[in-house]
Amino acid sequence: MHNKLKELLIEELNLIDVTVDEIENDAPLFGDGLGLDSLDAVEVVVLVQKNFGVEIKNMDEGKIALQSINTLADFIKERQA
Amino acid sequence: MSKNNSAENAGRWNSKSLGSTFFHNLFYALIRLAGRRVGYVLLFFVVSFYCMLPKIRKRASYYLRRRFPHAGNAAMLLHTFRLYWNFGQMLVDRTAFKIINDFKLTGNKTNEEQLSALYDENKRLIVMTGHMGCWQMGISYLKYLQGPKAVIMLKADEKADLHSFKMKNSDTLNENGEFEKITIINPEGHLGGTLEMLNALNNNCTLCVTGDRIFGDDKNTVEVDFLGGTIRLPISAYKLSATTRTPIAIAFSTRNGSGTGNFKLVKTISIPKNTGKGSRDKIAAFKPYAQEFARELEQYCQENPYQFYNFFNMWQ
Repeated sequence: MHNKLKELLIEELNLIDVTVDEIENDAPLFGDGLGLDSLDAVEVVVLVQKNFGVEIKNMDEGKIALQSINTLADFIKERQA
Repeated sequence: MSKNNSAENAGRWNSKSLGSTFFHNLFYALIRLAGRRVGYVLLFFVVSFYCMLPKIRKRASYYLRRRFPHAGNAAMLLHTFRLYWNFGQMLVDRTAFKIINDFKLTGNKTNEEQLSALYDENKRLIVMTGHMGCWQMGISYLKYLQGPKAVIMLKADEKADLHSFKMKNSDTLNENGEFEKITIINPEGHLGGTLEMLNALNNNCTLCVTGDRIFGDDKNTVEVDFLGGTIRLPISAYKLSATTRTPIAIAFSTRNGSGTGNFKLVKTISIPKNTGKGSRDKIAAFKPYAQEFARELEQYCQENPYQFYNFFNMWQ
């Protein structure tokens, strides 16, 4: 799940200077860390919905899910269960 | 990324910046007791006083100097008065709409059908307007459209302005006997409110945005030409449009008399899916669309010079 998420982020967000191994599971996705922004958030939500069938509906869910690869993976697993 | 001055200026400015709480409360009380026209009478004296204040004149000058580049000092003072007079009348009308439901907004059948057709494409729509005319009452015009509505608005304004958007139409009473309400999305919330905007569109919403102000930092903005200079405009709405295949309808509402306004669909924008996606410069891909909006905005300012209400330096 973690590696798949990283591959999807790299591909969908065109993170050409980043490899799967370079993305730490607990590094922040937004701001520091991977450096994504609000525009990327739109793509992340869409790719999660498209590839995992899970919706991130609002700020409260986003704050939980979109902190790092770990939290995003946990959120997806929880919603899929 | 350093904070752009125009974004900072816009964030600081709101209608209450131009008058104390006392005057706002006084207007509310007068209008409630005696109607809109009495509000206009008081407004005349308030606007005349405020136009004598250098700080107030300066706030209008950023726009007026570009709209009327050849105006001398005397002419500029008159332009300033007329701009604030129109703005004040709009605020009085908005208050009358809120508390005594006294405002008549008209449109035309063709525009209504066009907007309905746009909405029906994918059961969602982005309506883009600007801070001009009677824009808040204009959003209320959309009550005839199916589905829920949402407006992007700063949280600080939400409590005061929520009533502006109540769709006062008996056909839309819910099970509690209340008028249909509009969801307010705060653009300074987590991730700029984009998750709420995306969720709104995914739930068949008509999402109303203003395309002429930046909230937060200027990272997701582009530079466009406007009134002889360059300004920065946000591109989030265009990104949402491309990602969700939602058409954008540019619509402007013009105050055309005492307690009356006109809603007009100006242009529709269709952005190809995945525009900017995977692109090295994902932001620049949306510049043409922001420039289209700026062109319409400039045309509006040419036709309605005293109904453009951004009292800060957009060109900084």
